[in-house]
Amino acid sequence: MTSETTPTCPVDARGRHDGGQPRRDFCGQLATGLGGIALASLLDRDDCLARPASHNPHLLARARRCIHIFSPGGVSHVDTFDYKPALERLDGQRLTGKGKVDTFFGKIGVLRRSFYRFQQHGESGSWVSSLLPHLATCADDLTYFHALTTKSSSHTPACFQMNTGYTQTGFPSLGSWLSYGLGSLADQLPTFVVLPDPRGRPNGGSSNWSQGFLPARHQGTALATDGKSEPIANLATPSSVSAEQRRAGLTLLARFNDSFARSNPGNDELVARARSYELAARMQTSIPEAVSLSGETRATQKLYGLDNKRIKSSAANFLLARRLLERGVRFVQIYNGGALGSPRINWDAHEDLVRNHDNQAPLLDQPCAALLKDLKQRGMLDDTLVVWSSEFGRTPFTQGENGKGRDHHPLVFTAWMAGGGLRRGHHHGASDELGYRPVQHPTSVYDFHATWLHLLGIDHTRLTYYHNGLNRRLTDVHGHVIRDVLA
Amino acid sequence: MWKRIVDGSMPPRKIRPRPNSRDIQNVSRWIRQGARWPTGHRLSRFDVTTSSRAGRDWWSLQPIHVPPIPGTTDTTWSSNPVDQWILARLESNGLRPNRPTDRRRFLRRASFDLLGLPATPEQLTEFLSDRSADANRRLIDRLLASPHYGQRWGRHWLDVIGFTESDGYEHDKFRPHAWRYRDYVIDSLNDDISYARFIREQLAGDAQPQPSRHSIAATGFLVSGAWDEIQNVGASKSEMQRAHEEQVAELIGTVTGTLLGLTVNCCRCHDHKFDPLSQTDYYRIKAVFDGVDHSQGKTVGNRSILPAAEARRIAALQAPLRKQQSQIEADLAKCRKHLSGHATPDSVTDCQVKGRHGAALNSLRTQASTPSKAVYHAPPLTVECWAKAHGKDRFNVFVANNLKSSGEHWELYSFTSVGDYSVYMPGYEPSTIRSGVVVTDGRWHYLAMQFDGSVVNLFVDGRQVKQQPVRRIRPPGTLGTLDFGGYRPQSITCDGAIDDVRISHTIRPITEPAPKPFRSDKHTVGLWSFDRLKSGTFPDLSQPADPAKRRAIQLRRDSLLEQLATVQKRISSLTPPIGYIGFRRQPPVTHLLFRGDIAAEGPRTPPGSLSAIAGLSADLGLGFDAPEAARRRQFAAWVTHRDNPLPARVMVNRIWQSHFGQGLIKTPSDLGFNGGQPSHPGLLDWLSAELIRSGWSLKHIHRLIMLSATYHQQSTYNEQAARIDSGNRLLWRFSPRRLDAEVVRDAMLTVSGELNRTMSGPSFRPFTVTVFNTHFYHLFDSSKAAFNRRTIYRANVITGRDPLLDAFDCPSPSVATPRRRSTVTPAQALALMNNSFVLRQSRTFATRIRQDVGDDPDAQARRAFQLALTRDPTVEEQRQITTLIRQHGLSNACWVLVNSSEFLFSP
Repeated sequence: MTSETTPTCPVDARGRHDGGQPRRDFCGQLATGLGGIALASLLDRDDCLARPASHNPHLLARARRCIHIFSPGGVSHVDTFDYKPALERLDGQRLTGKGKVDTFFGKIGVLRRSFYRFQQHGESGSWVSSLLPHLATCADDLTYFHALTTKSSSHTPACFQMNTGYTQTGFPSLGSWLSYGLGSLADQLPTFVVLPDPRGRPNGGSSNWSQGFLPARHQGTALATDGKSEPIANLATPSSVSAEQRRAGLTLLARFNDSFARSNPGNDELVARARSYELAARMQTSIPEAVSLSGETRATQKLYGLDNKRIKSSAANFLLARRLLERGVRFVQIYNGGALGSPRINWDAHEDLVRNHDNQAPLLDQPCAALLKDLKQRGMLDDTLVVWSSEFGRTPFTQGENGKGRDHHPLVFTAWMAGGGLRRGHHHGASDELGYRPVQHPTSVYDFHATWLHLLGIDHTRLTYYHNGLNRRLTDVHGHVIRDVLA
Repeated sequence: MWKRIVDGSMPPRKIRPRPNSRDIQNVSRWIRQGARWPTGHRLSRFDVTTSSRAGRDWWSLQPIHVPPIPGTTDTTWSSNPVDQWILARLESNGLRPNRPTDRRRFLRRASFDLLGLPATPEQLTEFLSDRSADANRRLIDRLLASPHYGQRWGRHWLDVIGFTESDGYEHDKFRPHAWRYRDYVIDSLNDDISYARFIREQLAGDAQPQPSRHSIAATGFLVSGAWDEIQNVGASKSEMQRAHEEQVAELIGTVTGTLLGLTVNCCRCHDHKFDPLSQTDYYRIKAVFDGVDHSQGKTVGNRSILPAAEARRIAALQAPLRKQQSQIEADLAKCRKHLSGHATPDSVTDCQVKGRHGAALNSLRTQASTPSKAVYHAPPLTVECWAKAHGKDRFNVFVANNLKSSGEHWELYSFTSVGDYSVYMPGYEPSTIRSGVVVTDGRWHYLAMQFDGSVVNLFVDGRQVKQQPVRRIRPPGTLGTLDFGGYRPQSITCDGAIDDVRISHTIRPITEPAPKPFRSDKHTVGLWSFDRLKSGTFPDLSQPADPAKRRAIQLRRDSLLEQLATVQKRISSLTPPIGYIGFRRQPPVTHLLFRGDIAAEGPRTPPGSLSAIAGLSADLGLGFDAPEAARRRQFAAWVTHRDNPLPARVMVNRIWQSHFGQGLIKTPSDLGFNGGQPSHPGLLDWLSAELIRSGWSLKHIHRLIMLSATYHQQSTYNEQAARIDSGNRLLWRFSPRRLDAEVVRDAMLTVSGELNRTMSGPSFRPFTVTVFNTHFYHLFDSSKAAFNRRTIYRANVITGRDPLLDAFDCPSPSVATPRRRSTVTPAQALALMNNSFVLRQSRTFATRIRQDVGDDPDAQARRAFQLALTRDPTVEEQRQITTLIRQHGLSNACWVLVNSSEFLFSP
């Protein structure tokens, strides 16, 4: 039942709280039959968004679904996508002329040329370092943002900003906003799925995909992919209950609930409950099917790197993401990195950049390139938005005089998008000759988010939710859509 | 100006509505009369309410004004003045209220509302047998007197303020002492202390002339939200300041939203867009709270809640005892050197499983430990153990010595996600030594480590798998414990079992195949087989150093232990109670920040309050450098001043909302422009006046509401009424509501007979924690009584939420939630279908019924209905459920009932 006619959520929630009218519409719909009722967003009695009519997004959506590949820890922009020849010239010298330098650990070393070799790739001639050979082959499919800036030099506030727009705990994540604004494409799967790094969850844990003040159903569903636990909580019927017992129990339950709903008319929740059990039963089969990779061909598995022991479990997440999108999940977030700490299981290369990035990059490089190619080959890249980012970059100078690593750098860093509606192979904005500050088109995370929503057909100023006195937005009171990157 | 008005270019064309001819005539007349202007009066957009924003004349900012109680056509329906207002509006809309509901439903409704628990069959019998005219009043009094009232309404309060028991942000560290504040809230509501006092204590309970331990615990309110500990770790000054600004902004949002129903936090960067609140107002209040912090340097805010005098008295009594204690401990350490280290398991139940040789320590269920000795870490050192582990998604600790903060810590463990055998020694560089050999395959492995002071060798099943030179980087620390099957200080465990462990003060050759049961020799300093539990401990089988002396030392040790226990008991009886209440410091002068930007300092701002409340000055009489305590004390006095109309209005509206599902104002924490107008302004002010008149008694307001005919109505739907008022704002019926998440869980525990009614004290923690910078909470479901307490006692941690509660719209801790939502989702159905807690409660429910009425399915069916739904089944229901019991068991029938809509809805 993956179709456009499923009642997606309207994108235009009004702030004032007098939701009587839409609710009555919804009741009317319920009374006339439940066949077309939306599923994941089954019912929220106060939520104007639960309106069943087929709401169009604000704008023409260039993409219908989205993947965010998030590489926490701080990926060094000057060692991946932002080529700085000047650093080669000034290697070993002190940074001058940039004003007061305020870094997280306060140990400012010397300028350091990239630890990797840069080369131009594809027709676009985009520079990509030797750290990411597979992604380099996709260089023409990417749209680069070279002048991103973020607020905090501390990991978790910066991660929260990339994920929720705010540096604090408690705001809805971008995926939750999408779930709220666009609703689901498929009833039998969650709308917003998170695939944590197989090595562990990121710092801040589930706060990164929390729904904040939005209704609980918009929170990201973190799939357990270890094969041991259930993919989502409470999915399987426990072995202590036989199929026959369950069937008989559900039948009588449906009878009781039906008669209770009939003797208490005018209560839409009671009617919706019946439907919720039917959907739950469908999820019990559709989710295990979606997460099983056994149906994928050898060639596909190989493309992602499932035959390579070292990257296998990361590769599985990228392949799984494609399967989920195919089956109607609206938004998948893949974590390419876990929490902070020692040993490093994310990109936080303070001590030794080469040792760190050499470890992290393979988990991203081949699987991510495979995902792009696979989506393209299946004709899905045209209406899918793929976003890759970290929470910030790394300093163009070393951490400490003789350091081999780099410190956090929120002033400028690079991210890219690919897929529907974008100018492929295009580079937007630029950092200065050292990769220290933006010199052209400084791009805030708000701008990045505004553009992101725009590509999915949402006007970021109109996707609002009333919470304690304010019509809250993902982009607070900021953000401009970057037209320059649109195809 | 006149010309511009006449030609239509002023006001600017975009302003709507346009001035009409009368407006223009008025201006013209005013000019002709001399255009007089009051001296010194400056126009402000805050002055009057327009179509797009509120001015100082906004209704909620005006004094409480009770109009005469309205008359109604029907003079028989009303039970008290509440009904007059409701009925008057119904009548003017051509509507009639529903008939009164029956007594059974009334009981069920009142019990859910006030206690958050279903009424029992016994309570029904008692209520039905009370035939007196004031049976309802007596019922409400009975419910209000129940300690469960505070648990239910305390939860509402904790929702409103966004109470959390963990930090959130990066570490999300658990706050083990935050419960003191939760208990303060519950106790205060149960005692029905004046709401004004409730406010004053939470804002400034420590700053009063006569603070008590309760009033100090109350200030946990000031630090009840999320907090970013990392701000004290980094070196960046601007990062610290940014974090502080955000933290105060959140506190101001909580304070003003909760107590005043205003969103002052919206004026951090500019004047309020909708309400007459200025940026200066914000910074005046910021100056009030600038000295509140969660930590002092690196010390987090767990502090004694004793008033100073009491604390001094206790400290004086403790000092000599502490001295005594450390002397005994020193003597004990001397004894211990010569004695064996028996390992004591945390719990003896299920502490053993079948092992590699004989029994093993069941580390899945328990850990064991023994006091550490210097010889356990002094090189040359060899540690050997047998371990079996499954969990790859976590760290499994097999053996761990001393605290991680000590330079002498070592631990044998498996690394998360990979599962390879590793050693961690933070006193050395590199501190993490990984073998790369996976041992988390559910099989027994012989693991060993040799350490000669400069090189670490690791062995798996007798084969050397790693050699790592190391360098000392940290000094030794104090002795801790030697832990088996986990690292207890961080509650890290091992998903498997631990068998024979041997520590040797030598480099012992490691051989393949592994030696069958380890033996003790002259180098062995510790040997544990876990085969036999002897008086609650696993004996250390290594040879004591000097057998001749052993007996004497043992006697001496026993006597010392006895002395120690006595001293410790006396000390702990004197230990001050600790609460998570944060710190207060004298803050620097507060400056307004343009655009909220820490780099754009504006004028100095003294502590003060809001300027928009009619008849109440914003001036607290405080200078820029007023003492911190005075700031909060004065502000609290301002909030509860008799001329401040907001706290009473806000609170009676909250109570109304919790009884009817929606408030007289629909946005309970926003009585500003965005909140709109109350549906029944006269009623709101009448109730507010009643609250103040009763000495701020919340229970008085409950009585007024619950004894009204409005509250008594049936929930029956009426299509015609719905056409006029679909949202039921006029209250032509009682809207039935789904139970809140906590009530669902508590109701299941009640009907199954498992509810543990223990009040107060530390929260139960249905999770284990692993720490990898962030604290990761791994949930488990336990049937133990400690976990069957009411849900308000569940540790309310941000990233350790319960999927069952989540499915029922339990809000995220730390997110202020003045009004819960009620959704229906497949996730909810899945939770009700398959959640292990729900299924266990269904089984226990069945067991209880069997105990109550025996094996007759008809009697069982009746009892099940009575307990779950407070009624007897109909003939048809009786037939259906009995058939299900016969064919598929009583538990299955109980499962159906706790899944049923009737169970989950308050009538």
